[in-house]
Amino acid sequence: QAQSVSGTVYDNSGSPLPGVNVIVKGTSSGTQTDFDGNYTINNVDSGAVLEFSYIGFKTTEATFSGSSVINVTMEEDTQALDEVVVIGYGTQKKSDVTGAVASIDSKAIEKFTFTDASQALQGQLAGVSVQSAGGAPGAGTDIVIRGIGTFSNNGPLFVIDGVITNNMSSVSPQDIANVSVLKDASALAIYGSRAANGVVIVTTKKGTRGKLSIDFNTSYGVASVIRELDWANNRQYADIVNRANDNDGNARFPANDTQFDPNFGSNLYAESVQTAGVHDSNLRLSGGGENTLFSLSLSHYDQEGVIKFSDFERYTVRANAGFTKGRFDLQSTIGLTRTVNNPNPYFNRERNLLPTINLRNSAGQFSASDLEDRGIDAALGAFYGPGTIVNELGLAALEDRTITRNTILGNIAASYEIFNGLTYKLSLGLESYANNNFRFSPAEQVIFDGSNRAFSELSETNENFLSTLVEHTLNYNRTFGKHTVDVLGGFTEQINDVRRLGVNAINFPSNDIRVASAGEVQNTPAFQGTDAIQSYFGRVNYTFDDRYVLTGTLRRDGSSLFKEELRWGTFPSAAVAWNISNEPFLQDFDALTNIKFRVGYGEIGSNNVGRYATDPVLNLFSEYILGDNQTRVQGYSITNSVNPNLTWETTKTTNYGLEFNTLNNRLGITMEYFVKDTEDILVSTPLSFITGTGNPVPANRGSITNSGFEFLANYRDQITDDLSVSATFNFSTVKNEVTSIGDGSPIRSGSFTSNTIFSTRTDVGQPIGSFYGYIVDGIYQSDAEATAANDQPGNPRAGDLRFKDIAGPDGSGPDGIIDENDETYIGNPAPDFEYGLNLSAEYKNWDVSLFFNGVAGNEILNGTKYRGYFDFNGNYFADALNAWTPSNTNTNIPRNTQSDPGFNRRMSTFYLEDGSYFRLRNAQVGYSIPDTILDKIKLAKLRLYVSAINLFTITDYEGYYPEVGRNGRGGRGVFTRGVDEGSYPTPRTLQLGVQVSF
Amino acid sequence: SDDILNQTNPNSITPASFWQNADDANRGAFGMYTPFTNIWYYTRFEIFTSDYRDDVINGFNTSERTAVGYFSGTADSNATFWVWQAMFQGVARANEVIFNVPNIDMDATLRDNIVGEGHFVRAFNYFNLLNNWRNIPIITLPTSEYDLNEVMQAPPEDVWAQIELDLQTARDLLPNSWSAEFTGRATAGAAAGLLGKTYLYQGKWAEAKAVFSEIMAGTYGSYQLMDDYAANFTEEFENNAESLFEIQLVNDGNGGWGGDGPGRGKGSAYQADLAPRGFTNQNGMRVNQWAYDLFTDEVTVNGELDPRIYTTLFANSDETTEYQGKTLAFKTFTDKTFLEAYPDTDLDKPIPIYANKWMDWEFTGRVESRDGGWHGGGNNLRLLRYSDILLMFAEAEFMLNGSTPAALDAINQVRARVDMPAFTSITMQDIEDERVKELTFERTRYYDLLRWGKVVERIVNNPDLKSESAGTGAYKPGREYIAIPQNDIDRNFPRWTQNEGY
Repeated sequence: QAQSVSGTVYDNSGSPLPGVNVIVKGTSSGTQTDFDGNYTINNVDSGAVLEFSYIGFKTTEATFSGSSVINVTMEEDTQALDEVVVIGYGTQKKSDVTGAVASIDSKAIEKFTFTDASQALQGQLAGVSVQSAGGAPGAGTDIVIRGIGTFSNNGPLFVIDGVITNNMSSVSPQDIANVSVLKDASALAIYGSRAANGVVIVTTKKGTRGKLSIDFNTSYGVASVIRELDWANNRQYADIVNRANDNDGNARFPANDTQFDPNFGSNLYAESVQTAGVHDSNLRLSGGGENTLFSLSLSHYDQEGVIKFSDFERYTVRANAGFTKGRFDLQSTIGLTRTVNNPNPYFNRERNLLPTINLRNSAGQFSASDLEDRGIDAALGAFYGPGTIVNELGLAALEDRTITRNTILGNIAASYEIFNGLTYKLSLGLESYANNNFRFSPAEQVIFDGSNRAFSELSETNENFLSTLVEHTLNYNRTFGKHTVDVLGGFTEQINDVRRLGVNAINFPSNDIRVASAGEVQNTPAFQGTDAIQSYFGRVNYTFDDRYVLTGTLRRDGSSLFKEELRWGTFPSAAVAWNISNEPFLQDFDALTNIKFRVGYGEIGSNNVGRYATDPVLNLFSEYILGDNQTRVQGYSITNSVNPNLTWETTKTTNYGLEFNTLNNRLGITMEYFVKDTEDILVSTPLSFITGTGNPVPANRGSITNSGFEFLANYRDQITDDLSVSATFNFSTVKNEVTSIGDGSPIRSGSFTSNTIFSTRTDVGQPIGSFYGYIVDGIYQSDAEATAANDQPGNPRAGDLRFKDIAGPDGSGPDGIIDENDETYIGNPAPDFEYGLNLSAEYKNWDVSLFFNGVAGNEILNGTKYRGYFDFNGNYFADALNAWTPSNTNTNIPRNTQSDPGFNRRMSTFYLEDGSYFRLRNAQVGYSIPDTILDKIKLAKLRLYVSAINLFTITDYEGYYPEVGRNGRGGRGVFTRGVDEGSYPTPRTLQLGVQVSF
Repeated sequence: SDDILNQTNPNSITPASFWQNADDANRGAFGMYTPFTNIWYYTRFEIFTSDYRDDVINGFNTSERTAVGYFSGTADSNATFWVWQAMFQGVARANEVIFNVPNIDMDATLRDNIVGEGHFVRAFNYFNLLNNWRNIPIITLPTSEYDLNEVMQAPPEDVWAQIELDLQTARDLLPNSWSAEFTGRATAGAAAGLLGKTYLYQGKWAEAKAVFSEIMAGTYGSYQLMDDYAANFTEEFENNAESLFEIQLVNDGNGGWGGDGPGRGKGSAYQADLAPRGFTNQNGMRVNQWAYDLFTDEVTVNGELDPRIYTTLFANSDETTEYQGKTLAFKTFTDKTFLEAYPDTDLDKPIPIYANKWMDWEFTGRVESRDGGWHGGGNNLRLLRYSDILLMFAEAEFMLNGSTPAALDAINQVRARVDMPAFTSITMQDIEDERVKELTFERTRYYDLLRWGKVVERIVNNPDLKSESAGTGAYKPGREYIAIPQNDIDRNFPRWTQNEGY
């Protein structure tokens, strides 16, 4: 006989689970658990089976055998959690995915502290190369997915909760639930003309149904530089320069010689570094009822720099909410972010203070000269020697620099299921920021003497940006027997609008008055820009019997960046996947499970063009001086050539993927091989200079091939009830080759000094931005040997670098002359391979995780060597004392000279070093207070941990740190990779943290 | 709708909507002068392709920018293409003016004047391009009117002819002077002076003489030597009676300098490349001994050193000269003598000689070459002076008729101004020497040697003159001229050829 059954559903930890579907198997009667996990079902027949199902948990059954109370504990289904993959405009069952998609979830991110959320991806995902631009607080990252396929600087596209943008720096790492990186055309084509450099999809944390939780995480860390360079002290410097002056036949400078005074000197670098604090806190309230979900998160991140006078602070508020009622669903995500960045752009800059000068004068103020204190009447340069004599620490301290940005990034998505399987969705996204970039350099002698500036100066720029995104999609998802179809169609429009107003003013009445109106306004640069993109897209995913999956995608984009006739482009892709394990003939094959083979092909684009790049305009500021009173007059001229025929770059990708599980599903393996041919790459070269415009003009004429292999292994094992371990290893290698630069000249770039010495060359048949120069072949031991070498760029003597004679004109062999024919490719800034290894274990209440990553086979140009051995405008390395002399011939440091007739400083292998490294990126040990104690103190969770970032790094690189990013002198472009001009050192950080849940 | 995809640049006007009225004509004309203040032109870099290549300057150090100075420039090195680029900027802007301004409905005189300016600026830049690169294209229309793929290098004699034509036109269209608010714009005198120089460089002595005679007769306005030679090199006496053309410079600020942009600095920084050691943060240079010896091989009518040596050089000597009511001595910034500036000088070793011209420390009080900012040189750069006109006249007359009274009178005017005894007869060597004494560091010496065919004899065969850098071993025949920039060879391939020697 039928009677009513009730009970409570719990999760593993004993907490009630609300929202669990409870049905009587084989009938249509069922219900959901309420907020407290309770359910009641009426009219249950004896012998009936109750089925409890809930996303993320293994479906559980219970047979009704008369007892009116059935309590159930549901087990989390770890495998099921992994099975949903976030893809463009939706999610997919892992087995249905046909493209190359890599992802990490919050577990890999929330444990650690990152300046920028994108750093969390570093080393975690095969094929995703992430490099910090040095270790400065607030430093950005360069993300390269599957090799560089463009000459422009574009990174991947970011989609944050549905909002399409260019970076993820406004997101607090603590708020991230999942990051999914789309890598091949099959996955990317849905983003069309903006997808060629990959797409990073960020999903932020939502609430959990029924579980009202309050989580508070806080950590405090101390950071310190890992390595310092050995710069000369005052005595060493004087000895080096005296020797150089003697070698050059020049008089010694008084400060180094007759008037050397050991009491005057500085150690600029030791004074510039500090032990710095890093503080990160996050408070999150989340929960949900039957029809609602919410999460409110407050984060504060505060980082001091290990270099003085640099710091960064970020505040974020994130409010995510979901509302479901019947066929209607509403999701909103809103993030408010404020960042305040005070960079120190002066540290380690070329032409620093000579170490024979005190950093501060006798009055304790920053100073760039001791002449007054020493009572010496001489010209600075004549007394100290040539040098810009910048007190960069003083500059950094006295100048006021702040970049403040307030960002709103949010999305509201409403969907309605029109009939079973067919859902219409309207998504409204918005990104808006107000940016204030402020710099005030006061009237201070230390600034006047040392730099280009002669007056107090303020420059301030405000920028307002608004991007709106409207997306309409229609999705039909239905299973008919063995056939499952998932069809998506959509229309979207995004409009970006920016308006900027700046002001430069000089000569302020006081250093304390720092508003533009108080000074003499010099100019007010301003800009207005709008661009828009409209797109139609569609995707069909068809699955037969869970064995065969077919995906076809098409996107059609129209962009305002291009002229009308070149505006619209179509980006197709197709892919198939074969779940071999589901074939009947493999039914009993258990050694390997979930075997899937994928292959896909598609075309995607990259609209790497700035606003109005196709519009010729006049420059309104071709100024000159005229008149008896020497007045500035404003002329107009054409200073820029444009190419009206620009269009997007196209990348054709073929991807093969193989994945399987083994060891009883404990080990999962994914392998990918891809070939990525990018065509119509914008190559910017100046037109012939006879046009009168020297600007590089882009044209779609280059091509690059990237091919590579990626490997991901995931191991997870519950060894005993108390002990679980997991390991993730990823490995990727990319071969990059420029296959055409159109009719352009090889691209020279990568200068590492203000004296412009190019270090990289990009030409057909070579990787992008390969190091190019002479090969050092020892040191000339005699003048005769040096003269005989017939060195054209220089006129070397004994003690100068010997460069290798490898070729004559027309590629013939050594010709007895050292000239530009002997320059060759001498290194590659891109690694042969990159890898990451994540190890973690939990034993009772203890947890340990170790994250290693590394790169191998790349060269770094250690530009600091230029300053340390050659440049005479600043300090030298102490090692310059070890230079060649007639009595010290067993050295690889050329003789000390300031006139450098041998042109030792030219680009050569002298600067190149192996950039390989292997490091313990993160190590963490945590202890969770046992439940028995927690119960008494009324806490759900209390975990304490210590962690270390960059605990050790194994490398032969002699600069500050082998993670150098791209050199700023070249605008951080792809041609300046691996050029280290002394980038901000990456610190080692030790942290203590606590996580509390109520 | 598709409308949102049609975005036009709201930040400036298009070239098509320009050239409507007199204001536009003036704005276009001003824009032609801007490249002169480009860092790659006269506010700095040009010195590496002119004076740094001569036999006076012995530049310290090897570097990309100074490489052409010791014949080691390559087709892709900085000095090669930066300076070329700035000069062609001037050409292109002049072409726009010459092409567009005649069609503007405006005051006819001003219109003619502005078109004349266009011809002057174009010829001025072509003169520099031809003498530095020799095998260059002739472009006389706006870039938009060209099929760039069809542009060929022109025979040098055709370029000379184009320069002559432009300067004749400029001379006829330009006014003798501008109103006070426009001082500094090209004048008929500037055009005539450069026209004479153009003839002279080609050995067209009669034509040269004729033009110089007109200038000396006051046809293009009254030019005369300043009483004090030094007045040509200070801010105090800019645009003076001796000056036919000069680059207008002011020390005005902190911003980046040169180029086209709001408030870009309009001062010069080349002083840092000429300044004595210790008064510059740049590599710098010293002066070869022969130049000092040349200055000191004769004395004034009062038995003292040539006053010009103190303006031009800074050396360790306590010689003085009474001149213009002042006692001249070798001094540098902060009024220091050599031994005050370099108290540690080892008197047993050869003592370097440095430059002093253009530093203008006496008037401005600058304590070193960058005082007041990187581009803190507000001193106008005089590029064509009446004394040069006199010397060029003397040379033309001498080549035509020998040591005539007319030739002697011209050169003796220049000498008399600095108390040097009059010549009673001259040789070509006398003219050459006088040009060194009068015009060193005024961007003419290298081109004089070039036109006289003396680069090899004077420089290449005397590697000591470049001993502070890499000597002259890199010289190959043809390297008297700079390599054509690789960019332009590639853009115009295969119609263009690289210069001999590269």
